[in-house]
Amino acid sequence: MSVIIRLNRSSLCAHHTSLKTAHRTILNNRDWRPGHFIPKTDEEIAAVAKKYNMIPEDYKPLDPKHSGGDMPDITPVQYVDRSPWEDWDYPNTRQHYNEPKHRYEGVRWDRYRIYYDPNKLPYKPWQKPFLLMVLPATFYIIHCLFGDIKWPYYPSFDPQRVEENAVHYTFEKPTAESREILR
Amino acid sequence: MGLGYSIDRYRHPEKYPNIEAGPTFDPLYGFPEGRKTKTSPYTPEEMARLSIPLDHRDYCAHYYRAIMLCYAEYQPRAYRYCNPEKHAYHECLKEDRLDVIKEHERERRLRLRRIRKDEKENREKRMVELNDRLALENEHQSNDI
Repeated sequence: MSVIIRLNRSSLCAHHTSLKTAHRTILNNRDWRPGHFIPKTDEEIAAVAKKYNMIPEDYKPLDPKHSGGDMPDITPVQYVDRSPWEDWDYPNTRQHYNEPKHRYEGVRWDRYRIYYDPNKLPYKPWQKPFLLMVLPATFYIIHCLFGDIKWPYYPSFDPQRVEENAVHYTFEKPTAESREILR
Repeated sequence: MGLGYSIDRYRHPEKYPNIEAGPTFDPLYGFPEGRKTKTSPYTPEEMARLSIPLDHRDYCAHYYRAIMLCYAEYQPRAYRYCNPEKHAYHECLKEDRLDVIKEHERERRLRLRRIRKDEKENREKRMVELNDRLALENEHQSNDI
């Protein structure tokens, strides 16, 4: 049984050592599985574009190095770049029903990965290494330079140490015992 | 201690105690009956023999010694076993530290008192000089007339 399943599995899986469960499910589903060959003629392109819910003019096949079969090459549009005023089927993700998607489009927790543009980042490219390395280094250097300084503790003198020939007093009246010790 | 205190301490160092120098006045000045002396639990030689760290060779060294012994007894699970000893040590340290703070306050007040006395003496001296000068001028004027 396992042999049959392995034969029925898409050869697209062969080049990917670790695929996400969702991708694996899609590729192993006969209804959702992409075609093996890139369409050449206009008729084939029209059929494939209809399969992917696109118009033939928009359809571009994926680069064969991705081993995606006849899947379309889609330029991903970031969530923040989609218009919030459009009547989306899924306003939460700003997507339409049966819309062709980039394979990383659904990664909502890493939206900046799609269409990475450093000009749109909340920080400058040099700020990250600065925060990660330069600031801690400066703090460490300051600590090394000024860490051993004995800061004065107001309002007080240095703590009294028991040494030879050092007499310290309290603010109480002397008792008979303390007088004897003094003698 | 705010910034005003720090600036004033920098501009008038004679008004405030010098922490590095320690108390400068006679410890028995103003105590006609004398003062009670602090008694150390160990002599310096005993502390060296008991291997008490240099930072802890003060008037609470016996409490610190108790903590050392407790830790040696209950290792490796001495956590929270020696809390009574630690508490006693900190209470002792508090009282010991309070005397030093009182010494600081005494030093500060005596310094201000010394400044006040000096000012009073100077003022009297200046008044005497001024009166002499005025008397001389009056004499000259009367002679001219």
